[in-house]
Amino acid sequence: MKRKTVLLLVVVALGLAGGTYGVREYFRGPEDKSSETAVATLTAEQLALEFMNDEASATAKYVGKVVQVTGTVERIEGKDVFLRTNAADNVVRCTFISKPAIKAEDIVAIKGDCGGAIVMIGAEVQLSQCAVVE
Amino acid sequence: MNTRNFIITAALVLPLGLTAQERWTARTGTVTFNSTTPLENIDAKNTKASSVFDATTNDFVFVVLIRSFEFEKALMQEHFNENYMESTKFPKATFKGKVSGLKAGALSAAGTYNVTVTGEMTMHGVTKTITTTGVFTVDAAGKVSASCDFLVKPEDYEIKIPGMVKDNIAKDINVHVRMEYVRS
Repeated sequence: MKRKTVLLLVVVALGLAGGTYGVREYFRGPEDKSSETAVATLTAEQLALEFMNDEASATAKYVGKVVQVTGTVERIEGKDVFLRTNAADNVVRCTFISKPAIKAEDIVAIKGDCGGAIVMIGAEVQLSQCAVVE
Repeated sequence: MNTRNFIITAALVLPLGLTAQERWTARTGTVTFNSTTPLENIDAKNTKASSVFDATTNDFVFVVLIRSFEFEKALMQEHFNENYMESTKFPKATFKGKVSGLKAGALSAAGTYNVTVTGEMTMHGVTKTITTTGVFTVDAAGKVSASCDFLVKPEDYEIKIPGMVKDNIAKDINVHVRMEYVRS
């Protein structure tokens, strides 16, 4: 009897733990990439040029991976931070979960998930779930 | 400039003026989609679509990166990228087509213009022809925007939905596109 009770308690506890984990996982909101290791560290200029010069190769190297980009903030629009490059039409657009505490002309290092680039009006590389690297 | 030179210059320059491109571009276009089923509603938004509309030829193109779609729930975003859209393999969705029903010079005057858009949509490595209706709007300040809605069937683009969640995802996904253009 005692053994059965213990077994029942273990099953209930495991069920509760599994259920709690499932609910938490289901409702989990997007998180930034601050805790992940970047596969590459490069300047905004370099990253945009890689996509501009050989989009297929840059896509294979960076898309779906965390990259760390350094550069000067050109402007901020809501949660989007635009890092300047030397070519006026090339830009690295970093989207944060919430508006970051940085301003235009700051020199920053940003980590984010690389979604690729839209190479149409210049190259716009897009990073999401970004975090400022301290 | 004598008369002869003037005529020669005019003959060379005028055709250039007549065929000058009226090109409009957007880099902050919004693409949203929504899947509604009795079990679950799924919404996602991407505010980073780029588009070019050439009002001379009526060519219209928009491009969106799949990984730039944002979901309220991280798990949905992960499944969308990894299981359904395979966004590292197919990072973009593109639409290339033509707008019809927009008269030349219409975008110079404030108004609402109903159009038809027909073109090729490429997503998940599959290209399909889409025809839909859309609206160009020019406000009093001359700001030009365009929007259209269409339905996408995941199976048409070889997007495989596992049997376990097939009732959670609609057979037809509503897609809404909105662009705010600047003349370039």
